[in-house]
Amino acid sequence: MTSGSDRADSRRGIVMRWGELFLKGQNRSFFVKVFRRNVGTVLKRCCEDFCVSRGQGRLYVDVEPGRQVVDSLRRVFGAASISPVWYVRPDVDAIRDMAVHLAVEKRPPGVRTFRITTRRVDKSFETNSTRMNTLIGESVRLATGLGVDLENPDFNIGIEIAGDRTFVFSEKISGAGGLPTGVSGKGLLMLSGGIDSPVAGWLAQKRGLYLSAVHFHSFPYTSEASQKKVLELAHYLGWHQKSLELYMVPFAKVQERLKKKVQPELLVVLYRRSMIRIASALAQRLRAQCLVTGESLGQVASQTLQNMASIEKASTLGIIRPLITYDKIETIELARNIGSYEVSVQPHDDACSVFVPRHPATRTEIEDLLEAEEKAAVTGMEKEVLDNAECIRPEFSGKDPGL
Amino acid sequence: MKYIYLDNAATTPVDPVVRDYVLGFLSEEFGNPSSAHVLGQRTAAVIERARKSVAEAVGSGPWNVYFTSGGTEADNLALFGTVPRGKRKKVIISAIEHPAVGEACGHLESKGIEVVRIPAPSGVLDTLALSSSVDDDTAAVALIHVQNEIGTVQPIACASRMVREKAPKAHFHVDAVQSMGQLEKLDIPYEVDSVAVSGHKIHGLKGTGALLVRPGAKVRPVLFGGEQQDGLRPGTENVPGIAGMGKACELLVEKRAAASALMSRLSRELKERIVDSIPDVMIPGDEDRMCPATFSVGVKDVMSEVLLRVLQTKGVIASAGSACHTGNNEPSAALVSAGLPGGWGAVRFSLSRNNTEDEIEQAARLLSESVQEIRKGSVAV
Repeated sequence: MTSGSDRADSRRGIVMRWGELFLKGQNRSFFVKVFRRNVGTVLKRCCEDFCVSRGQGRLYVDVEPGRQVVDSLRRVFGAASISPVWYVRPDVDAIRDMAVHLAVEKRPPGVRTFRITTRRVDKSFETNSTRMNTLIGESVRLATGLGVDLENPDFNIGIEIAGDRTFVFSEKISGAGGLPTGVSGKGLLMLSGGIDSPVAGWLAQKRGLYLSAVHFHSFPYTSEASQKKVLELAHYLGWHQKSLELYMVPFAKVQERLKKKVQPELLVVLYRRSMIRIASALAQRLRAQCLVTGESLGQVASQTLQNMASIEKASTLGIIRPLITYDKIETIELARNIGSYEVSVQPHDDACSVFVPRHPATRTEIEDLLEAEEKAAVTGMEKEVLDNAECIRPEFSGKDPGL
Repeated sequence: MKYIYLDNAATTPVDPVVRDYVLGFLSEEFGNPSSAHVLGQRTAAVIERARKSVAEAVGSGPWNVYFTSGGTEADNLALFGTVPRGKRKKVIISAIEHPAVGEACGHLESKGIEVVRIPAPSGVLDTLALSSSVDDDTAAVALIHVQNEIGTVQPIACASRMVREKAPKAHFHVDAVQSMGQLEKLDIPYEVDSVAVSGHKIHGLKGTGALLVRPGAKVRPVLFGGEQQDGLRPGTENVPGIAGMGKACELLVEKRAAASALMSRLSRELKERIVDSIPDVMIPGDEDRMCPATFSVGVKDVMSEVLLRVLQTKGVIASAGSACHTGNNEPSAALVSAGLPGGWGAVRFSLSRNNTEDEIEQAARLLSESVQEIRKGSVAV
């Protein structure tokens, strides 16, 4: 039997299981590669020494499973579940000893029933899973006096037998789900500084989009503080990616021109159309395949069905609107989970409200808009402001800002 | 970019002489002034010297000087330490006080104290209205000396005599945070019981200030926990800050006459250039009662925040109203009462002895350019 001191020395690590990735047939190895790379990116930012290797349906992360590392990893998209584990020698006694140790030392208070769940990956291991469950279960029952409940246990001890990678665990934490960020391609997020757009970006990342972001500011009509806020928001989205390019577009010039030339009720929709045109051009430069916005149907004047249709016509790319059917309350709830809410609610100036009358048009006709744009002749200016955009690459290290 | 700094009412750059003097108290002279040993006695002597320098800079002594963490604490101490006063439960202030007095009185109001705010048309206290409000119930009267946004000098001599006559037991407090560095002579009348001043508005360090109290005037402590400074302001003294404030006061006394004349000349020139070169501007406040170094300019069809940002990109640093509460787009009560029309923007310029003629000329030109560009709607870069 293994001695107590061996237990204390027992190597620890994290096992991450992927979920949906299984469904992807031929693409699976690409998906897993991206998932593994994303896990590596996050680990590089929060710990010094680690190693990630691939197993069957899981990644083995060799790192001390501190709370912060576990919490950071469970936010990596693609993970179905994640467990801090104790590695043991692949023999019944060592496994039993660790399982009993976990049941005695690590079980939460109030636990009355348990079960053992063994997965025998290495079929050459002579004791089969059912037999292992019985053997280890009996020892745990004797050591703890807990009852066995196979259907609905209070506490589950998991065992995986796979040669060197034989481990015991007691916690199975649900992961962020979704697809690994990057497998679906690249999108350009229109990041405003409000509550919605960071959430929209996060949901797009969850479906595998790798993001760049663009922010339109109206300095000197809006303050520099508002730009700093956007940079801070970019941190929440960039943490899970290798890096995140944030483009700051000085939009005031276009706004000044539009203000001089067109009727004020149309301004909001014209601003949005102009932003979409600039963003489309930028997306093409960046080889992004779609735009992502935080629009939600009917939320503000520019988000009525008619206006959204008018705005969409300015785009040369598809627009993904993850929040289109979300209530504000649902969005706020998500923003809180992501951690961006506290930053988003700091006061800021909004480029869309510069020069805009109290009651902008909620229904616009595309003909009127085209005519107004013709009159204002903003196309050349749009190219100019895009050329003047500043690209910022936030630095990521230390603690996951979302925790 | 080298900026033209015209926001000295927010804070002033630390004078290099003050900086060098303070450094000594961050290294070898570290003693606690309450200690009986030699190191403590040395810093205690430094504090005594600073007390004399501060009292001398304010003038019209005698004063007992109590060092605080700044002007706000000094104003708060003067109010919370004197109100209520026995059965007297009324405080009178002007409608154009700095928040250090205005909001402190708001707090008193929530505790059941009656607060009367005397109007100040054209930025100058209406002394008749004051006279009719003062009565035997009055516990304290607090007045700003030089208004921090419009730069008008308040009639504290007239007001304090009036109060002394009608309510001899009331405490009369003056907030001299702005006036200290700007006026050639403060001329605090003997009827004034306490004066608040701040170190960083006179080229000293931030986090330093003082309440000067007339010997015999009663002020209760609001902090407890030590015998320092007669128990009125307990806590180990901020020796480097106090030493710096003392030194800043010595320099102030030495340079005051020349500085005040320079600032007067420069601000007169700046005002003239502004009024001559920009249509639809106004300078709020009674022209005859302006201090030498601070004034606001009201500008039609321009938002204050936007004008400030444009000025900043051109290298001029000014502010909108008081730096202590920027971020608020509404013009302040002081500016409105001094006659700023609704919908007009305003920027405040405040000078110091460091400004030069060349800077003023450039600032006037850049302001004129900025206003023109904003009005034309072409400021975007």
